[in-house]
Amino acid sequence: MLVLILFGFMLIFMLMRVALPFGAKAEGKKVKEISLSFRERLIYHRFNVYAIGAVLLLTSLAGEVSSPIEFVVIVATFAIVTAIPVRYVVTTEGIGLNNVVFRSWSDFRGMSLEKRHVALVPTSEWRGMKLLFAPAEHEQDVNLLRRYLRTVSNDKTERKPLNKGKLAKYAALAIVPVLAIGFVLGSGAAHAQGPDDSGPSADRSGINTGTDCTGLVGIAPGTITEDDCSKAQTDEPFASQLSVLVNENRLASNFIWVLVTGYLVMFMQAGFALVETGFCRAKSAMHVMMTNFMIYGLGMLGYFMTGFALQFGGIGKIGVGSLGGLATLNKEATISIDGINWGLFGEKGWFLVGPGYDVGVAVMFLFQMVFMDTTATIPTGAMAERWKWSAFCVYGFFVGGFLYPIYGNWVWGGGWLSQLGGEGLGVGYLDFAGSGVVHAIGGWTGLAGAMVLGPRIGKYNKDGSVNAIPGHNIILAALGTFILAFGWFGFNPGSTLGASGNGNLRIGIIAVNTMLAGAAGSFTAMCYTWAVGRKPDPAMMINGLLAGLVAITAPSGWVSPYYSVVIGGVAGVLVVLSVGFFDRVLKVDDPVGAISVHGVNGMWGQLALGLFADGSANYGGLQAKGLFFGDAGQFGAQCIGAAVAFAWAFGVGWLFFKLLSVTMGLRSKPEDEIAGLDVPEMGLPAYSPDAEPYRGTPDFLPGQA
Amino acid sequence: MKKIEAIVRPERVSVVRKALEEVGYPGITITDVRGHGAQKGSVQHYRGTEFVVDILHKVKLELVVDDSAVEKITKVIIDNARTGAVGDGKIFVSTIDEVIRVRTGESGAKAI
Repeated sequence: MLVLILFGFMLIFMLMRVALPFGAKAEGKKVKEISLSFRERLIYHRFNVYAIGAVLLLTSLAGEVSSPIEFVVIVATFAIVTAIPVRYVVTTEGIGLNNVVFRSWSDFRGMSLEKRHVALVPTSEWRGMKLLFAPAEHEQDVNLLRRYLRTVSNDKTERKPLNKGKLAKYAALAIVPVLAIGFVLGSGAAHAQGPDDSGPSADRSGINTGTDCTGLVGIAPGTITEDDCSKAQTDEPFASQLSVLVNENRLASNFIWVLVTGYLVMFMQAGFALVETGFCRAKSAMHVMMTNFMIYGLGMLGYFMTGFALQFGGIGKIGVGSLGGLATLNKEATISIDGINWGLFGEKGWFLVGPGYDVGVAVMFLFQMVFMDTTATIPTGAMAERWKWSAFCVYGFFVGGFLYPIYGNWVWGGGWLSQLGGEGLGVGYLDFAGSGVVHAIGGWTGLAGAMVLGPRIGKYNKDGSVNAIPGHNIILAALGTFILAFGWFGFNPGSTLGASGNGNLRIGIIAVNTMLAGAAGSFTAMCYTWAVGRKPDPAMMINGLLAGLVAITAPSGWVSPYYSVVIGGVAGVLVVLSVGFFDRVLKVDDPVGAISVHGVNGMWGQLALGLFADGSANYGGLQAKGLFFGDAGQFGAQCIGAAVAFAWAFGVGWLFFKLLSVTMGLRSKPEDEIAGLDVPEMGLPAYSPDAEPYRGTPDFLPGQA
Repeated sequence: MKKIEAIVRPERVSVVRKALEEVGYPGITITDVRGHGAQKGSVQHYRGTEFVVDILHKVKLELVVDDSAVEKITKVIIDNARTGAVGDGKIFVSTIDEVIRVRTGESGAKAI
């Protein structure tokens, strides 16, 4: 149904670009109508056509739409392109398109002839108009336009070769056949099987979860087996029914715990937004704030479409007992090496339809979605103040729909990193709440992005020396850090995915570990900057607290409070050294320190688990010991996990950003960057005094004659 | 003695000052100012409505210099403040009757 509405909207939007119910009226006397040919109309509608094709592909992969609907959508798209004429109306007063838009000649100061379109240059640097026909084929029309425009700037018939290279051309050419082939194969495969409802049926009402024997097993490891449970149902019906009630209450407490901690993690978005905006300059504050604001929605939609299924489509095979098992998500793509089926990515739960429409799965989705958004919002800091908005939007879907979930599957979804225990490496790679999965992935992606983008103008001098570019509001950054520290009480303790059973009562210890490590991080950062730089550095104390929190995220469930202080303390110094290293040695411009806080300290957290895990935690029988407590194998698994996180996030991230930069462009225009991105990209500055007079203020005030 | 008042884009101030330091100058006063010239304002967008901000933020640099230095200093400012786009600013040069140094009471060219 949702897909139908989506298609409806897309088609209506496409239609609205050529016809409006109460559209603009052409003023003045009509001089000429310029009609576009079929090919030109196709170019006019190209983005709508691409978008509809992409949604068709994705939905058919999910098995959500049936062939007749796809057929109707394709026919309707084709009909809009063929049947509705696109006419530019030239009048004595201005120029319009059908009844969609009409602009006066005085809005333009000239025109620029490009290879495939005529660009009308606007008087105020705001919004031009593109006439989508090739000037070479419409010579008469161009001469007509020339008469009405005051001057003709850049009268060139050959388009200047843009600095984009051949790769971009081939990439653009490849998109269409790839989409077409993918669409045919994808929809064919999905329809051959039908919507993927095989396996256990989903519980949509919430009255079945936790009432059968499978839900009872695992309250305390090894105490109740399925046989005991089935036998009790006939032998002792009263006790059996009582146990069902108890079990449902247990699940309810777990659901509440996971949801509430998920809400706390969602609030961390506000913290990230304030920290990043505070650490940037006032002239780009609106841009930085809005990247943090929109990544919430963009990333979430990406995660909803493909991300969640890729990450947790096979989690039901392991089972999440504390949330009722999640048995419906039972399909994982694997590769068999050395007798073990190594998990690569999940394959169920696309769009939360079919097996994804389940009470337990929804709790899991909410909690994991906010974790993904944490990752997604980290690179916005490392790439701030120079990132083009349109490229950012593409990134939002990419990180939520692909980059984050794949590594997440390898660690938390039953993938190959978590299976390393079978090779004698401890109990396999462990990451309690995501120093690696969330923070290292975000940090290393940010590193890739910042390297592809290059530094902000003015960060480095010609001789390579570094300029400090102070943030415009450290108070905002400090407030944001407190919000993050508060949200972290959801991040770490919530990662038990439950409050009862399976050793989950450790949540108190996990929360204490979290607060101690953050405090230790800010303390050592203060001491270090005080001793070395003679003043306790406010921005570094802020980063120190965050570094401590990031570092304790992976070990929080496995170490003691005492070693949490050690881990956080090391992180506080590490972040100061790392900021200097990236700033002065590698010359990567990271305005907010995201690479150091999340990348470097995320890696430290991954390794720290392998050093300090003391073997006292026991989550449903899962116990781990670090190097200092007698298990070198666990440390080996942690090293592999950390290396893979770097290789995946930096490698794939770098390729992705490089591809964006040669195709659509990744970086905003230099003049916009120098003036601040707020007005050129967002149209509104972050800070504008009310008193500033502007055209559009009322031309009278009450009390005036 | 002449006073040079240059109104420039805020983001060019650091570049202009660096270049001025290279040629040398006696002292400078910098003020945040607002105003407009012949080209009026920038277009902004708020909730779907366009509006034009008339009064733009600029920075005024004031230097009092010896007559012989005027040409050199104005050239440095022009070279470094220019972007070529509308809104690069203006330079005003005027004559100063007297300069007195508060600390010593010296006056005239010595006090610059």
